[in-house]
Amino acid sequence: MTLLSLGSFLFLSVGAAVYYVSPVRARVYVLALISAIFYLALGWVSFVCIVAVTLVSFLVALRVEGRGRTGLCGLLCLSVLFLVLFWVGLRGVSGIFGFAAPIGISFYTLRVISYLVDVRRGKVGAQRNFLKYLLYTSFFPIAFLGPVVNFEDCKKTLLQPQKPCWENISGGILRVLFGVFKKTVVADALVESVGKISSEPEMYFGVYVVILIVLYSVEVYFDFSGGIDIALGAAQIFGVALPENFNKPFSSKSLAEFWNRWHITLGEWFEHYVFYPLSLTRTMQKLSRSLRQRLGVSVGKRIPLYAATLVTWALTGLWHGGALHFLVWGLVNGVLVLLSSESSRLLGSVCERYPRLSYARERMSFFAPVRVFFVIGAVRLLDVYKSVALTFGMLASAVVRWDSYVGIVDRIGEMMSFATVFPIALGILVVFTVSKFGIRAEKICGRPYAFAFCAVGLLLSSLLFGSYGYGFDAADFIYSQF
Amino acid sequence: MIKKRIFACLLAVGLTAVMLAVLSRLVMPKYTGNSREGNLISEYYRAIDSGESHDVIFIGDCEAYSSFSPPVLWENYRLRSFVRGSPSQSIAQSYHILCETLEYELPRVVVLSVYALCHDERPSEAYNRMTLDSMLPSMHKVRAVRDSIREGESQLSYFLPLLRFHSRWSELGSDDIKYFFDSPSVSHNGYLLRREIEPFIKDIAMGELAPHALPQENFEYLDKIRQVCADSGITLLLVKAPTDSWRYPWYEEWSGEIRDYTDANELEYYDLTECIDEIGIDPERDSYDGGLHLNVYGAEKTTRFLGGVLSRYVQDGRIDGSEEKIWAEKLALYYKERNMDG
Repeated sequence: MTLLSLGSFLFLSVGAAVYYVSPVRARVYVLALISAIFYLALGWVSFVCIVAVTLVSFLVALRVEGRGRTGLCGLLCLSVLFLVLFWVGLRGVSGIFGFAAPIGISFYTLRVISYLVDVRRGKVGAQRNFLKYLLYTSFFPIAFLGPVVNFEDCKKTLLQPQKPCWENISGGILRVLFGVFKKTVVADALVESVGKISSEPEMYFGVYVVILIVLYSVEVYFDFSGGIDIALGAAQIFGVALPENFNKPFSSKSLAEFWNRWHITLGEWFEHYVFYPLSLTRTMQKLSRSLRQRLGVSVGKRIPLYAATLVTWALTGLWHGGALHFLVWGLVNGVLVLLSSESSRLLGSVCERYPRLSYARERMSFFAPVRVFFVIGAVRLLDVYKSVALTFGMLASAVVRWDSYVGIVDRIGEMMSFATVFPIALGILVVFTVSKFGIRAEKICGRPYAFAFCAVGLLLSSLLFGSYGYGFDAADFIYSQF
Repeated sequence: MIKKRIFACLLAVGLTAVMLAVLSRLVMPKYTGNSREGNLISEYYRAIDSGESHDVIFIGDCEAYSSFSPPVLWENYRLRSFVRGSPSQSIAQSYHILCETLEYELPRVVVLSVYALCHDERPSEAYNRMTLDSMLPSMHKVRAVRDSIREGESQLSYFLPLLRFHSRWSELGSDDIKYFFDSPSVSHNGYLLRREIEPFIKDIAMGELAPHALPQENFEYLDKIRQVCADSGITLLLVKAPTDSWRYPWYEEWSGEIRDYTDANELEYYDLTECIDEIGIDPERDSYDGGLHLNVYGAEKTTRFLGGVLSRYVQDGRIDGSEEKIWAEKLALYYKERNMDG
C-alpha cells in the first residue's frame, strides 16, 4: 500500500467512518488502532519496528522525566535512535543490512527523539497512556512523508477526540484531492523527461542541465508538497491540525529564506534538536570564547556558529540518504547558506555607504527568487545524478558548452510533447492561482456548492490528465524513500 | 445549511459518477480503422436490443469471426446465428461470454472454435481490452476479467476505462465524438468480412517442433462450457477451422487430444483441416493472410459445409415475417460489402 493508491484512499475513508462512529471517549484509541493496522498492512517488519521503538521510548521517557539528567538509560535510547537513523541512511548501500528500511522509520524516529528530548528538558510531560503515545508515533497519514511533528504540536488535536465537523472533513477532502492533483498531473508527468536527461549525461549536457534544474525542481516541489497536502488533508479529516511544511518556497529572495519555507518542519527539527544543542554546548561556548580572544569577536563568534551549521547540514544530508552525494548536498547547502548570509551582510554595509548601489540592489531583488531557484536546483542535481563528480561536471558543462544552447526551443519541443506539457502547465497555473490569490480550503468549504465543484474538478482533472496506471512508471513519492 | 451541504455532497457524487462515465466513454478506443475487431463483442447487445434471437451461437477467437458467416448460414439453411468471437479470445473468456449470452437467450447449438485451446498463456492486455472492454458490466464480466488479466493490469480499469485510457485525451478525434453513444457497426452478426486475397503460404522451411500438450486449465474451462450447455439443453459442437498457417500451426496431436475429450464426453468434434478438399478451400484464393485466417470466399465455403451439420440440430425453427425481413436486409448488406469494388 502506498500513499497514492486505491487501497490507501479506501483505508482512509473506512478509517474516518469508523473513527466518527466510535464513542467519543474511545476515538483516540480507535485512531491508534487504525494506525497500527495501517503499519501491519505495510508489513510485519514495519509493524514490529514501530511498536518496538514506541514501547522502548515510552518506558525511557517515564524514566527520565523529572530526573534532571538524561541518565544512562536515556542516553542509550537516544544513541540507539540516532544509530537507527544512521542505519536508515545507509540503507541506500544495499546488501549491507539485507532488507529495506521499515516504512516511515525516518520520520517517526525524529518524532521519538524530539519527544524524549522535550521530556528530558521538561518542555512536555511524559505520556502515561501507551496507546496515546502510540498514536503520536504511528499516526498513519504522516507515515510516509511527514511533516515532522513534535509532541507539543499533537497534544491539542491528535490526542484529543474530535467531533465530526464539516469544515474539517470537507477541507481535508479538498486538500487531499489537491495533493493528488499536484502529484499525478505535474510531478509524475515530469518523471520521464527528468529520467531521460539524467540517465544519459553524455548526450544531454550543457543547456539540458539547465532544463533539468527547472524540471527536477518543479517535480520535487509538486511531488513533495502534493504528498504533504495529502498527509495534512487526511489528518484534517480526522480533525487533526498539523503544521505546514511549505510556504511559497519559490518566492524566497535568499537561500536562508528558502530553507525557512521548504520542508519547514524538518528544518525546525534539526534547528531545535541539533543546531541549538550543538552550538550551546559547553565545548562550543569555550571554543567561542577562546577564538574571540585570539582572532577577534567577529571571527570568534562566527566559527562555532559555522561549525554547528555545517554539522547540522551534514546530518540533514545524511538523513536524506547515506551515500556521499547526500552528505555533499547537505554540506554544499550549508556553505551556500553561510556565504549567502555573509554576502548579504557585506552588500548591506556597502550599500549603506553608496546609496545608488542600494537602489540598484532593490531593483535586482526582483530577480532574487530566480537566482535562489537555480542555485537550489543546481545543488539538487546531486540527487539526480547521484554522483558528486558527475554533478559538478554537468554543472560546468552548462556554463562551458555554449554550443548546446543553439536551437534550445526545438530541443525542448523534441523532449516534451503537447500531451506532456499541457497538464504540467495546467497544474502549475492552478497552483499558482491558488497561491497568488490566497485561495484557501476554508473559504471554499464555506460554500458547499463551491466545494462540490472544486472537489469534482480536482478529482476528474487528476484522473484525466494524471500520469498514472498501467504503462506509466510514475515514480513513487520521492520523499517516501527517506 | 446542513441540507445545503448534504445536497452539495450528493451533487458531487452524482456529478462525479456521470462525468466518470462520460469521460470513460470518450477516451475509450473506438476501434475504427485497422482494428475494427475491438467492436465485435458489443455488436451482440445491439442485435439483442433489436429483438433478434439465434439458433446458433459461435464462440471463439479470430478463427470464429473469420470463418463462420451468419448471412450465408441464413441464406443456405435459414439458420439464425451470431458469432461472439473476438481476437485471441481465450477459452476462459469464451466460457464467460457464453454464460452471459445465456442470460439473453437460449440457442439450440453452440459452436466453439477450438484454436484457443492451444494457448498456454493469458492474452495480452491489448487483446483482453478488445474482448472485455465491450462487455456490459455484469458478474460475468467481473469473472472474465479476473480470469483474463495479466500481472500489472488493473481489474478496476475494465469497469472504469478512464483509468486506463486517460492519456488518450490528447489523441481524441472525430471518431471519438461520432461513436460516443454507439460503437461502429463493423460486422455481419459478428462475422468480420475480409475480401483481400493472400494465398496460403506453403513450403516454408521450418523444423518440425514437437507441440506442447494442450494446457489442462483450458480443458477445465472446456468442461465448464460443456456442462453449461448440457444443463441448458444446448448442443455443443467443437470445430477447428480449415486454416493452415506455418506461423500458427495446428498439430494432429492437438486434434487427437480434443478427440479424446469429445469421445469421452459424447460430443461432436469437426476438424475441418481434414476436410479442406471436401469443403473446397482454394489455397490460392480463400485466405487474406497467407492461410492464417479465411477471407470471405473461404468463410462462405466453410459455412455452407458446416451448415449442413448444424441443420441436423435445428430443424423446427419458426421464423416470423419481421425476422425474415431483418435477415433479408442483413443479407443485402452482406452482399453489398462483399461485392464492393476495390
